[in-house]
Amino acid sequence: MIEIKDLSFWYKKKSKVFESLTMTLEAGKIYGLLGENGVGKTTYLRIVAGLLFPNEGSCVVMNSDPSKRYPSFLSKVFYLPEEFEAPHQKADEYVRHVGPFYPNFDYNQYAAYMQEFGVNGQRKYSEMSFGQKKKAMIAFALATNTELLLLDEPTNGLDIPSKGVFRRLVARAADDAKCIIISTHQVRDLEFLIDPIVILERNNVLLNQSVETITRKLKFDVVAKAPANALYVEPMMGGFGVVVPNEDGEESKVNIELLFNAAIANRAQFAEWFK
Amino acid sequence: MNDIFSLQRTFRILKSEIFAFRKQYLFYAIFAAAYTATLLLTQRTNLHPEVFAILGCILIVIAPFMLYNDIYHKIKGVNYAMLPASNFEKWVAFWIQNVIIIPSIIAILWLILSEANLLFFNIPINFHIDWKSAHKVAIMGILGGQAISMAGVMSFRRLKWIKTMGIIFVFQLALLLITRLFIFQFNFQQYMVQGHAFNIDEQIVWWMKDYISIVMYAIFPLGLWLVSFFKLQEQEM
Repeated sequence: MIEIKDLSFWYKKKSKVFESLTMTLEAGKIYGLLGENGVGKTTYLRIVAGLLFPNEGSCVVMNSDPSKRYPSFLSKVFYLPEEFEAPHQKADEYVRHVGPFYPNFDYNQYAAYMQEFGVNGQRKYSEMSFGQKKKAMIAFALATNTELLLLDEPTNGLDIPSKGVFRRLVARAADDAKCIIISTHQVRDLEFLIDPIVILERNNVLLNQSVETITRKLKFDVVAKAPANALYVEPMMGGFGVVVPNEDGEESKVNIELLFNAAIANRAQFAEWFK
Repeated sequence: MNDIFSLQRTFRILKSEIFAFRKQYLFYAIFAAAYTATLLLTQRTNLHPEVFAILGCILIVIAPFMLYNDIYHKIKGVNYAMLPASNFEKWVAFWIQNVIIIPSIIAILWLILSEANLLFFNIPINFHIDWKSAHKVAIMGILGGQAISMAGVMSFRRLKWIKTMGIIFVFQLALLLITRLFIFQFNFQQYMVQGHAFNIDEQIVWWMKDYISIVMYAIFPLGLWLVSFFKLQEQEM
């Protein structure tokens, strides 16, 4: 679905955002894109969407060059940025005008999603709160049924019940032909949704692995006393949350926050383990 | 799927943009109508068509800034850039609105003004566009001015208006200098070639004038329309 090879990108040549980035993302998965502030998660999504062009290397998405912004490419991609300009019109009006540009757009689906989120499409975007606007845009994004869905911090601004609705709708929308990339800091909101997990670090990718591969190599646990071989230890209710090498082959549930912190604290080791 | 041009997609863009810009269009109509009414009430005895034309020119020239100022905004421009249509189709919709629709609104208001003047005050406004007279130059000048705005809107990410005005200023200055040099040269109406003085044939001067006009029309507006298209294609956000 997405083939990135030796890609370099910079706003200023002296401080590159990506340097020789190489990675492949496949269809049929919901990728969680994680990374510290400023590592380039949004830039990455914008390059894939064709809004930014690589300075070096190549980015091929669904056999197209995104930077050409061909209609055949754009009709298969939906990018929902973290901050967006809601059009000055009613949500339903906007959708009726823009929806037909997407060949697989389904208005009934959109209406059903809006209902699940509890948003009235007859209201103008300007009359909606930030969270309501976001829900309306998520409903539209999912109803376009594009093969590639890029969501930048989609749960920011959503209330607790809506986060649940979001997870449910995304899980329902995912199929073998679609690739969904969700960039987020709110990992707990999406813990059971995202797989594989991609962790970006400055200039490159630190981790791009399925949950299964991660749990085969690492074990996540809450213990009373931190073991000596722990890669990461964090005090929490009931003892210490730890990430340790999975030496006994026992499966555990991934704690994405612990995984992320462990990866940041053990960059070289992670790079070696998850080559 | 045709990746370059589809009439259906272009109409869809036009429809959705006209709907999205309806407030700006309304502003145009109300502003021009208010101006028209003011003219009718204050100058009905000696209404000069040029007075209305000046407002029309200004509205036509600033139209690209009114409609497309946020086209490359990092947040506001995303919906436009991600709309599944080719850059050419987006540009055609941009061109049609600026070059056809806005001037048509002004022209319709002009007709209303003329008719109202005739109906209420029985004063006809005799104004016909003569393509062989100075009107041709004026119309091409308006289109040229608007083409500069179109190129400016599509070329700059930020401070579009100020940067475009700056370029116009520099260009005008250069043109003034060239014209001065030209006049200085041809005031003498003669060339020195190998020590001999030759009078310049007036025919040559007229030929040169026509030639320069063609070049100018090729740049303003045609060349600048092309610039606006290519700039749209290469913009990132």
